[in-house]
Amino acid sequence: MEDVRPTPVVDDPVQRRDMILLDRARGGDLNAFNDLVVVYQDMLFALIVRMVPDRDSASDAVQEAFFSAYRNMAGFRGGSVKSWLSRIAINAAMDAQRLKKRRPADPYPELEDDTWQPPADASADPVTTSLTAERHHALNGALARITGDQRNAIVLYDVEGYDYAEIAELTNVSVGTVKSRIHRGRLALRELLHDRMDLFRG
Amino acid sequence: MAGSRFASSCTIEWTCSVADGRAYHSKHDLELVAAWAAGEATGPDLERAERLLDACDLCVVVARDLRAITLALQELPAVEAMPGLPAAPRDFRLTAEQAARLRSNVPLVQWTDRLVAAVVAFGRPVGASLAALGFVGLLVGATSLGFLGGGAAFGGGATSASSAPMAAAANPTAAPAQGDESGISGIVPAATAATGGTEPGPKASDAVRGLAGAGPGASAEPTSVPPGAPGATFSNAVSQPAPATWLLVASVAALVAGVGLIVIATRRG
Repeated sequence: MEDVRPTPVVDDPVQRRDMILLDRARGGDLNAFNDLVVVYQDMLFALIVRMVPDRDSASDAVQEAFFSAYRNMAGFRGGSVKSWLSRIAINAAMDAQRLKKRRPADPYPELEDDTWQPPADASADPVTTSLTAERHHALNGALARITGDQRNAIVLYDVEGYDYAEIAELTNVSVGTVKSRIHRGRLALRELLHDRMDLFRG
Repeated sequence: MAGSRFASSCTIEWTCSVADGRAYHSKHDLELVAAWAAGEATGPDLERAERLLDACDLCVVVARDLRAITLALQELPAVEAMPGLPAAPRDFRLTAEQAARLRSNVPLVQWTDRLVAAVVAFGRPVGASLAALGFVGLLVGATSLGFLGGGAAFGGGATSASSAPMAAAANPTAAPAQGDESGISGIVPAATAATGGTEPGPKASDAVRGLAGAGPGASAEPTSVPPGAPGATFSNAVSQPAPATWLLVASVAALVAGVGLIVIATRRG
Protein backbone atom coordinates (compact mmCIF):
# COMPACT_ATOMS: atom_id res chain seq x y z
CA MET A 1 0.00 0.00 0.00
CA GLU A 2 1.39 3.38 -0.97
CA ASP A 3 2.47 5.82 1.67
CA VAL A 4 0.44 8.95 0.92
CA ARG A 5 1.27 10.87 4.07
CA PRO A 6 2.41 14.41 3.30
CA THR A 7 6.11 14.90 3.81
CA PRO A 8 7.09 17.17 6.72
CA VAL A 9 7.50 20.85 5.85
CA VAL A 10 11.12 21.96 5.57
CA ASP A 11 12.76 25.36 5.89
CA ASP A 12 14.90 25.37 2.77
CA PRO A 13 12.74 27.03 0.06
CA VAL A 14 14.20 24.90 -2.70
CA GLN A 15 13.56 21.72 -0.82
CA ARG A 16 10.11 22.94 0.14
CA ARG A 17 9.27 23.60 -3.48
CA ASP A 18 10.55 20.15 -4.41
CA MET A 19 8.49 18.49 -1.71
CA ILE A 20 5.35 20.29 -2.81
CA LEU A 21 5.92 19.22 -6.41
CA LEU A 22 6.65 15.68 -5.36
CA ASP A 23 3.56 15.48 -3.19
CA ARG A 24 1.43 16.71 -6.06
CA ALA A 25 3.11 14.25 -8.42
CA ARG A 26 2.40 11.44 -5.99
CA GLY A 27 -1.20 12.53 -6.07
CA GLY A 28 -1.22 11.90 -9.82
CA ASP A 29 -0.28 15.36 -11.16
CA LEU A 30 2.06 14.62 -14.07
CA ASN A 31 2.75 18.33 -14.65
CA ALA A 32 4.14 18.61 -11.14
CA PHE A 33 6.51 15.74 -11.80
CA ASN A 34 7.53 17.30 -15.11
CA ASP A 35 8.25 20.56 -13.29
CA LEU A 36 10.72 18.62 -11.18
CA VAL A 37 12.18 17.14 -14.35
CA VAL A 38 12.69 20.59 -15.83
CA VAL A 39 14.33 21.83 -12.64
CA TYR A 40 16.83 19.00 -12.39
CA GLN A 41 17.39 17.61 -15.88
CA ASP A 42 20.31 19.86 -16.77
CA MET A 43 22.01 19.33 -13.44
CA LEU A 44 21.66 15.57 -13.73
CA PHE A 45 22.79 15.54 -17.34
CA ALA A 46 25.91 17.56 -16.47
CA LEU A 47 26.63 15.15 -13.64
CA ILE A 48 26.14 11.99 -15.64
CA VAL A 49 27.77 13.01 -18.90
CA ARG A 50 31.25 12.73 -17.35
CA MET A 51 30.54 9.26 -16.02
CA VAL A 52 29.28 7.50 -19.14
CA PRO A 53 30.81 6.96 -22.56
CA ASP A 54 28.97 9.64 -24.52
CA ARG A 55 26.14 12.12 -24.53
CA ASP A 56 23.65 9.61 -25.90
CA SER A 57 24.40 7.27 -23.03
CA ALA A 58 24.05 10.20 -20.64
CA SER A 59 20.67 11.09 -22.14
CA ASP A 60 19.54 7.49 -21.85
CA ALA A 61 20.72 7.27 -18.26
CA VAL A 62 18.99 10.50 -17.26
CA GLN A 63 15.78 9.49 -18.99
CA GLU A 64 15.92 6.10 -17.29
CA ALA A 65 16.53 7.85 -13.98
CA PHE A 66 13.38 9.96 -14.36
CA PHE A 67 11.38 6.87 -15.33
CA SER A 68 12.68 5.11 -12.25
CA ALA A 69 11.95 8.14 -10.08
CA TYR A 70 8.38 8.27 -11.38
CA ARG A 71 7.89 4.58 -10.70
CA ASN A 72 9.35 4.78 -7.22
CA MET A 73 8.21 8.19 -6.01
CA ALA A 74 5.73 6.55 -3.65
CA GLY A 75 8.69 5.12 -1.80
CA PHE A 76 10.40 8.49 -1.25
CA ARG A 77 10.81 8.90 2.49
CA GLY A 78 11.83 12.53 2.77
CA GLY A 79 15.20 14.28 2.66
CA SER A 80 16.61 16.07 -0.34
CA VAL A 81 14.81 15.46 -3.62
CA LYS A 82 17.96 16.56 -5.44
CA SER A 83 20.03 13.90 -3.65
CA TRP A 84 17.36 11.30 -4.26
CA LEU A 85 17.30 12.07 -7.99
CA SER A 86 21.10 12.22 -8.12
CA ARG A 87 21.35 8.80 -6.49
CA ILE A 88 18.94 7.31 -9.01
CA ALA A 89 20.81 8.94 -11.90
CA ILE A 90 24.18 7.75 -10.64
CA ASN A 91 22.83 4.21 -10.41
CA ALA A 92 21.61 4.53 -13.99
CA ALA A 93 25.06 5.81 -15.00
CA MET A 94 26.72 2.86 -13.29
CA ASP A 95 24.46 0.52 -15.25
CA ALA A 96 25.54 2.31 -18.42
CA GLN A 97 29.19 1.91 -17.38
CA ARG A 98 28.66 -1.80 -16.88
CA LEU A 99 27.21 -2.02 -20.37
CA LYS A 100 30.14 -0.04 -21.68
CA LYS A 101 32.53 -2.51 -20.05
CA ARG A 102 30.87 -5.32 -21.96
CA ARG A 103 30.93 -3.41 -25.23
CA PRO A 104 34.25 -1.63 -25.38
CA ALA A 105 34.48 1.13 -27.96
CA ASP A 106 36.31 4.41 -28.28
CA PRO A 107 36.23 5.90 -24.81
CA TYR A 108 34.58 9.27 -24.38
CA PRO A 109 35.04 10.57 -27.94
CA GLU A 110 33.16 13.75 -27.22
CA LEU A 111 35.12 14.65 -24.13
CA GLU A 112 38.26 14.21 -26.18
CA ASP A 113 36.92 16.42 -28.92
CA ASP A 114 39.73 18.62 -30.19
CA THR A 115 37.36 21.19 -31.58
CA TRP A 116 36.23 22.30 -28.16
CA GLN A 117 37.84 25.34 -26.58
CA PRO A 118 36.98 26.76 -23.18
CA PRO A 119 35.27 30.16 -23.13
CA ALA A 120 37.99 32.76 -23.39
CA ASP A 121 38.51 35.14 -20.51
CA ALA A 122 38.78 38.73 -21.66
CA SER A 123 42.09 39.07 -19.88
CA ALA A 124 43.47 35.74 -21.01
CA ASP A 125 46.19 35.75 -23.58
CA PRO A 126 46.16 33.22 -26.43
CA VAL A 127 49.01 31.18 -24.97
CA THR A 128 47.26 30.74 -21.62
CA THR A 129 44.00 29.89 -23.35
CA SER A 130 45.71 27.33 -25.52
CA LEU A 131 47.52 25.75 -22.56
CA THR A 132 44.30 25.57 -20.57
CA ALA A 133 42.55 23.88 -23.46
CA GLU A 134 45.36 21.39 -23.82
CA ARG A 135 45.34 20.68 -20.09
CA HIS A 136 41.60 20.06 -20.06
CA HIS A 137 41.88 17.89 -23.12
CA ALA A 138 44.61 15.76 -21.54
CA LEU A 139 42.71 15.53 -18.27
CA ASN A 140 39.45 14.50 -19.93
CA GLY A 141 41.29 11.86 -21.93
CA ALA A 142 42.91 10.47 -18.78
CA LEU A 143 39.63 10.58 -16.87
CA ALA A 144 38.09 8.44 -19.55
CA ARG A 145 40.70 5.75 -18.99
CA ILE A 146 40.56 5.22 -15.23
CA THR A 147 38.06 2.82 -13.68
CA GLY A 148 34.39 3.77 -13.50
CA ASP A 149 34.34 3.77 -9.70
CA GLN A 150 37.36 6.05 -9.49
CA ARG A 151 36.01 8.34 -12.19
CA ASN A 152 32.63 8.65 -10.48
CA ALA A 153 34.24 9.51 -7.16
CA ILE A 154 36.63 12.05 -8.68
CA VAL A 155 33.96 13.70 -10.82
CA LEU A 156 31.59 13.96 -7.88
CA TYR A 157 34.25 15.27 -5.51
CA ASP A 158 36.65 17.37 -7.56
CA VAL A 159 34.44 18.50 -10.42
CA GLU A 160 30.95 18.64 -8.94
CA GLY A 161 31.94 19.56 -5.41
CA TYR A 162 30.05 16.92 -3.41
CA ASP A 163 31.56 16.02 -0.05
CA TYR A 164 32.70 12.55 0.97
CA ALA A 165 29.56 11.72 2.96
CA GLU A 166 27.29 12.75 0.09
CA ILE A 167 29.28 10.67 -2.39
CA ALA A 168 29.20 7.71 -0.02
CA GLU A 169 25.44 8.01 0.19
CA LEU A 170 25.03 8.53 -3.55
CA THR A 171 27.17 5.54 -4.47
CA ASN A 172 26.21 3.25 -1.57
CA VAL A 173 29.74 2.74 -0.28
CA SER A 174 31.57 3.82 2.88
CA VAL A 175 33.33 7.15 3.25
CA GLY A 176 36.64 5.27 3.50
CA THR A 177 35.99 3.61 0.16
CA VAL A 178 35.17 6.97 -1.41
CA LYS A 179 38.44 8.46 -0.14
CA SER A 180 40.40 5.47 -1.33
CA ARG A 181 38.82 5.64 -4.78
CA ILE A 182 39.61 9.33 -5.06
CA HIS A 183 43.25 8.90 -4.00
CA ARG A 184 43.80 5.90 -6.22
CA GLY A 185 42.02 7.66 -9.06
CA ARG A 186 44.29 10.68 -8.78
CA LEU A 187 47.34 8.42 -8.71
CA ALA A 188 46.01 6.64 -11.80
CA LEU A 189 45.52 10.02 -13.50
CA ARG A 190 49.09 10.98 -12.68
CA GLU A 191 50.33 7.71 -14.12
CA LEU A 192 48.37 8.31 -17.32
CA LEU A 193 49.50 11.93 -17.53
CA HIS A 194 53.06 11.12 -16.66
CA ASP A 195 54.46 12.39 -19.95
CA ARG A 196 52.38 15.56 -19.88
CA MET A 197 52.80 16.69 -16.30
CA ASP A 198 54.60 19.81 -17.49
CA LEU A 199 51.17 21.07 -18.56
CA PHE A 200 49.99 20.94 -14.96
CA ARG A 201 53.05 22.03 -13.06
CA GLY A 202 52.51 25.64 -14.00
CA MET B 1 78.23 12.11 4.40
CA ALA B 2 76.23 10.32 1.83
CA GLY B 3 73.76 7.79 3.11
CA SER B 4 73.77 8.86 6.71
CA ARG B 5 70.94 11.31 6.47
CA PHE B 6 68.22 8.97 7.77
CA ALA B 7 70.31 6.11 8.99
CA SER B 8 69.72 6.64 12.67
CA SER B 9 66.35 8.29 12.86
CA CYS B 10 64.24 6.94 10.04
CA THR B 11 62.72 3.54 9.54
CA ILE B 12 62.59 4.14 5.83
CA GLU B 13 65.45 2.42 4.22
CA TRP B 14 68.13 4.56 2.71
CA THR B 15 66.34 5.90 0.27
CA CYS B 16 65.15 6.90 -3.08
CA SER B 17 66.65 10.34 -2.65
CA VAL B 18 70.02 8.75 -3.12
CA ALA B 19 71.60 6.47 -5.63
CA ASP B 20 69.07 3.75 -6.48
CA GLY B 21 66.01 5.78 -5.69
CA ARG B 22 63.48 4.24 -8.02
CA ALA B 23 63.85 0.77 -6.59
CA TYR B 24 62.85 1.98 -3.13
CA HIS B 25 60.26 4.45 -4.35
CA SER B 26 58.28 1.70 -6.02
CA LYS B 27 57.75 0.16 -2.57
CA HIS B 28 56.46 3.35 -0.97
CA ASP B 29 52.84 3.78 0.01
CA LEU B 30 51.65 6.22 -2.64
CA GLU B 31 48.08 6.20 -1.34
CA LEU B 32 49.47 7.63 1.87
CA VAL B 33 51.26 10.27 -0.17
CA ALA B 34 47.97 11.02 -1.96
CA ALA B 35 46.15 11.36 1.36
CA TRP B 36 48.88 13.70 2.59
CA ALA B 37 48.69 15.76 -0.60
CA ALA B 38 44.93 16.08 -0.09
CA GLY B 39 45.51 17.23 3.50
CA GLU B 40 43.78 14.17 4.92
CA ALA B 41 46.61 12.34 6.62
CA THR B 42 46.27 12.59 10.39
CA GLY B 43 47.84 11.07 13.51
CA PRO B 44 50.24 8.22 12.84
CA ASP B 45 49.53 8.41 9.11
CA LEU B 46 50.63 12.02 9.07
CA GLU B 47 53.89 11.12 10.80
CA ARG B 48 54.51 8.26 8.41
CA ALA B 49 53.73 10.46 5.43
CA GLU B 50 56.07 13.18 6.62
CA ARG B 51 58.87 10.70 7.23
CA LEU B 52 58.31 9.27 3.78
CA LEU B 53 58.36 12.68 2.13
CA ASP B 54 61.45 13.68 4.07
CA ALA B 55 63.19 10.60 2.80
CA CYS B 56 62.01 10.31 -0.77
CA ASP B 57 62.30 13.04 -3.36
CA LEU B 58 60.20 11.09 -5.84
CA CYS B 59 57.35 10.92 -3.34
CA VAL B 60 57.57 14.69 -3.02
CA VAL B 61 57.21 14.97 -6.78
CA VAL B 62 54.19 12.65 -6.66
CA ALA B 63 52.54 14.78 -3.99
CA ARG B 64 53.19 17.93 -6.00
CA ASP B 65 51.79 16.35 -9.17
CA LEU B 66 48.70 15.16 -7.34
CA ARG B 67 48.00 18.64 -6.06
CA ALA B 68 48.41 20.05 -9.56
CA ILE B 69 46.04 17.43 -10.99
CA THR B 70 43.47 18.11 -8.28
CA LEU B 71 43.58 21.82 -9.03
CA ALA B 72 43.19 21.14 -12.74
CA LEU B 73 40.22 18.88 -12.06
CA GLN B 74 38.55 21.60 -10.07
CA GLU B 75 39.04 23.97 -12.96
CA LEU B 76 37.42 21.68 -15.50
CA PRO B 77 34.54 23.53 -17.11
CA ALA B 78 31.04 22.20 -16.86
CA VAL B 79 30.17 20.15 -19.89
CA GLU B 80 27.28 22.53 -20.48
CA ALA B 81 29.82 25.19 -21.41
CA MET B 82 31.30 23.20 -24.26
CA PRO B 83 29.96 25.00 -27.31
CA GLY B 84 31.79 22.73 -29.72
CA LEU B 85 29.65 19.78 -28.78
CA PRO B 86 26.44 19.00 -30.62
CA ALA B 87 23.25 19.55 -28.69
CA ALA B 88 21.71 16.49 -27.10
CA PRO B 89 18.02 15.96 -26.52
CA ARG B 90 17.44 17.55 -23.15
CA ASP B 91 13.72 17.43 -22.63
CA PHE B 92 13.25 14.51 -20.31
CA ARG B 93 9.67 15.32 -19.35
CA LEU B 94 7.36 12.36 -19.32
CA THR B 95 4.48 12.17 -21.75
CA ALA B 96 1.04 11.17 -20.54
CA GLU B 97 1.43 7.82 -22.29
CA GLN B 98 4.76 7.10 -20.65
CA ALA B 99 3.35 8.05 -17.26
CA ALA B 100 0.31 5.84 -17.77
CA ARG B 101 2.50 2.93 -18.81
CA LEU B 102 4.83 3.41 -15.86
CA ARG B 103 1.91 3.74 -13.44
CA SER B 104 -0.12 0.81 -14.67
CA ASN B 105 2.78 -1.57 -14.98
CA VAL B 106 4.61 -0.71 -11.82
CA PRO B 107 4.86 -4.23 -10.32
CA LEU B 108 5.21 -5.89 -13.71
CA VAL B 109 7.86 -3.45 -14.92
CA GLN B 110 9.83 -3.75 -11.72
CA TRP B 111 9.62 -7.52 -11.81
CA THR B 112 10.65 -7.60 -15.46
CA ASP B 113 13.51 -5.19 -14.84
CA ARG B 114 14.77 -7.34 -12.00
CA LEU B 115 14.45 -10.50 -14.03
CA VAL B 116 16.33 -8.98 -16.96
CA ALA B 117 19.02 -7.65 -14.64
CA ALA B 118 19.35 -11.06 -13.02
CA VAL B 119 19.58 -12.80 -16.38
CA VAL B 120 22.23 -10.34 -17.55
CA ALA B 121 24.19 -10.69 -14.32
CA PHE B 122 23.99 -14.44 -13.80
CA GLY B 123 22.84 -15.79 -17.15
CA ARG B 124 26.22 -16.78 -18.44
CA PRO B 125 27.57 -18.67 -15.41
CA VAL B 126 24.23 -20.33 -14.69
CA GLY B 127 23.74 -21.12 -18.36
CA ALA B 128 27.22 -22.59 -18.65
CA SER B 129 26.61 -24.76 -15.57
CA LEU B 130 23.25 -25.94 -16.88
CA ALA B 131 24.71 -26.70 -20.29
CA ALA B 132 27.61 -28.62 -18.74
CA LEU B 133 25.22 -30.58 -16.52
CA GLY B 134 23.03 -31.31 -19.52
CA PHE B 135 25.98 -32.44 -21.57
CA VAL B 136 27.22 -34.77 -18.84
CA GLY B 137 23.69 -36.09 -18.28
CA LEU B 138 23.36 -36.65 -22.00
CA LEU B 139 26.60 -38.63 -22.09
CA VAL B 140 25.65 -40.72 -19.07
CA GLY B 141 22.13 -41.31 -20.36
CA ALA B 142 23.30 -42.19 -23.84
CA THR B 143 25.91 -44.53 -22.45
CA SER B 144 23.32 -46.23 -20.25
CA LEU B 145 21.03 -46.69 -23.20
CA GLY B 146 23.87 -47.96 -25.33
CA PHE B 147 23.81 -45.16 -27.91
CA LEU B 148 27.49 -44.68 -27.41
CA GLY B 149 28.46 -48.33 -27.47
CA GLY B 150 27.33 -49.21 -23.96
CA GLY B 151 26.41 -52.73 -23.01
CA ALA B 152 22.60 -52.61 -22.87
CA ALA B 153 21.06 -51.26 -26.00
CA PHE B 154 17.59 -51.39 -27.38
CA GLY B 155 18.62 -52.94 -30.58
CA GLY B 156 21.95 -54.22 -29.47
CA GLY B 157 20.70 -56.76 -27.00
CA ALA B 158 21.94 -59.70 -28.95
CA THR B 159 25.35 -58.24 -29.35
CA SER B 160 25.49 -57.39 -25.70
CA ALA B 161 24.31 -60.78 -24.76
CA SER B 162 26.85 -62.43 -26.95
CA SER B 163 29.58 -60.42 -25.38
CA ALA B 164 28.29 -61.03 -21.89
CA PRO B 165 30.32 -64.11 -21.15
CA MET B 166 33.47 -62.32 -22.22
CA ALA B 167 32.60 -59.34 -20.07
CA ALA B 168 31.77 -61.57 -17.18
CA ALA B 169 35.02 -63.39 -17.64
CA ALA B 170 36.88 -60.15 -17.79
CA ASN B 171 35.22 -59.03 -14.60
CA PRO B 172 35.24 -61.85 -12.14
CA THR B 173 33.57 -59.75 -9.46
CA ALA B 174 30.44 -59.46 -11.55
CA ALA B 175 28.57 -62.45 -10.24
CA PRO B 176 25.73 -63.93 -12.24
CA ALA B 177 22.37 -62.46 -11.46
CA GLN B 178 19.65 -64.44 -9.82
CA GLY B 179 17.30 -66.20 -12.17
CA ASP B 180 19.94 -67.40 -14.56
CA GLU B 181 17.52 -69.39 -16.61
CA SER B 182 15.37 -66.41 -17.44
CA GLY B 183 17.76 -64.93 -19.96
CA ILE B 184 18.42 -61.81 -18.01
CA SER B 185 21.43 -63.11 -16.24
CA GLY B 186 23.69 -62.83 -19.22
CA ILE B 187 22.95 -59.28 -20.05
CA VAL B 188 22.95 -57.71 -16.62
CA PRO B 189 26.51 -58.57 -15.75
CA ALA B 190 27.49 -57.60 -19.26
CA ALA B 191 25.83 -54.22 -18.96
CA THR B 192 27.26 -53.74 -15.53
CA ALA B 193 30.68 -54.59 -16.72
CA ALA B 194 30.31 -52.42 -19.79
CA THR B 195 29.40 -49.41 -17.70
CA GLY B 196 32.32 -50.08 -15.48
CA GLY B 197 30.33 -51.24 -12.49
CA THR B 198 31.17 -54.25 -10.37
CA GLU B 199 27.75 -54.73 -8.85
CA PRO B 200 26.07 -58.04 -9.47
CA GLY B 201 22.80 -58.26 -11.35
CA PRO B 202 20.29 -57.55 -8.61
CA LYS B 203 22.11 -54.37 -7.70
CA ALA B 204 22.56 -53.19 -11.26
CA SER B 205 21.13 -49.82 -12.15
CA ASP B 206 17.46 -49.46 -12.78
CA ALA B 207 18.19 -48.30 -16.27
CA VAL B 208 20.00 -51.46 -17.11
CA ARG B 209 17.43 -53.57 -15.36
CA GLY B 210 14.60 -51.83 -17.15
CA LEU B 211 16.10 -52.44 -20.51
CA ALA B 212 17.41 -55.86 -19.87
CA GLY B 213 14.35 -57.38 -21.37
CA ALA B 214 15.73 -56.57 -24.77
CA GLY B 215 18.24 -59.30 -24.24
CA PRO B 216 18.40 -62.76 -25.69
CA GLY B 217 15.14 -63.81 -24.12
CA ALA B 218 13.25 -60.89 -25.57
CA SER B 219 10.38 -61.71 -27.79
CA ALA B 220 9.42 -59.84 -30.90
CA GLU B 221 5.76 -60.41 -30.17
CA PRO B 222 3.69 -58.18 -27.93
CA THR B 223 3.36 -59.76 -24.55
CA SER B 224 2.08 -58.77 -21.19
CA VAL B 225 5.45 -59.19 -19.65
CA PRO B 226 6.38 -56.08 -17.66
CA PRO B 227 9.46 -54.20 -18.73
CA GLY B 228 12.52 -55.44 -17.09
CA ALA B 229 11.19 -58.92 -16.72
CA PRO B 230 12.56 -61.69 -18.88
CA GLY B 231 11.07 -61.54 -22.31
CA ALA B 232 10.02 -57.88 -22.14
CA THR B 233 9.69 -56.27 -25.53
CA PHE B 234 11.21 -53.17 -26.98
CA SER B 235 7.83 -51.51 -27.18
CA ASN B 236 7.21 -52.18 -23.52
CA ALA B 237 10.50 -50.60 -22.65
CA VAL B 238 9.65 -47.56 -24.70
CA SER B 239 6.11 -47.19 -23.46
CA GLN B 240 7.35 -47.08 -19.87
CA PRO B 241 10.58 -45.13 -20.12
CA ALA B 242 13.42 -46.18 -17.89
CA PRO B 243 15.15 -43.66 -15.63
CA ALA B 244 17.92 -43.40 -18.19
CA THR B 245 15.40 -42.10 -20.69
CA TRP B 246 14.20 -39.53 -18.21
CA LEU B 247 17.79 -38.61 -17.60
CA LEU B 248 18.27 -38.08 -21.32
CA VAL B 249 15.17 -35.90 -21.58
CA ALA B 250 16.15 -33.84 -18.55
CA SER B 251 19.69 -33.49 -19.87
CA VAL B 252 18.52 -32.26 -23.25
CA ALA B 253 16.23 -29.77 -21.48
CA ALA B 254 19.10 -28.56 -19.28
CA LEU B 255 21.39 -28.24 -22.28
CA VAL B 256 18.84 -26.25 -24.26
CA ALA B 257 18.00 -24.05 -21.25
CA GLY B 258 21.68 -23.44 -20.55
CA VAL B 259 22.52 -22.49 -24.12
CA GLY B 260 19.41 -20.32 -24.25
CA LEU B 261 20.40 -18.50 -21.07
CA ILE B 262 23.89 -17.86 -22.40
CA VAL B 263 22.51 -16.51 -25.66
CA ILE B 264 20.00 -14.24 -23.89
CA ALA B 265 22.58 -12.96 -21.43
CA THR B 266 25.04 -12.26 -24.24
CA ARG B 267 22.46 -10.40 -26.34
CA ARG B 268 21.12 -8.39 -23.41
CA GLY B 269 24.57 -7.69 -22.05
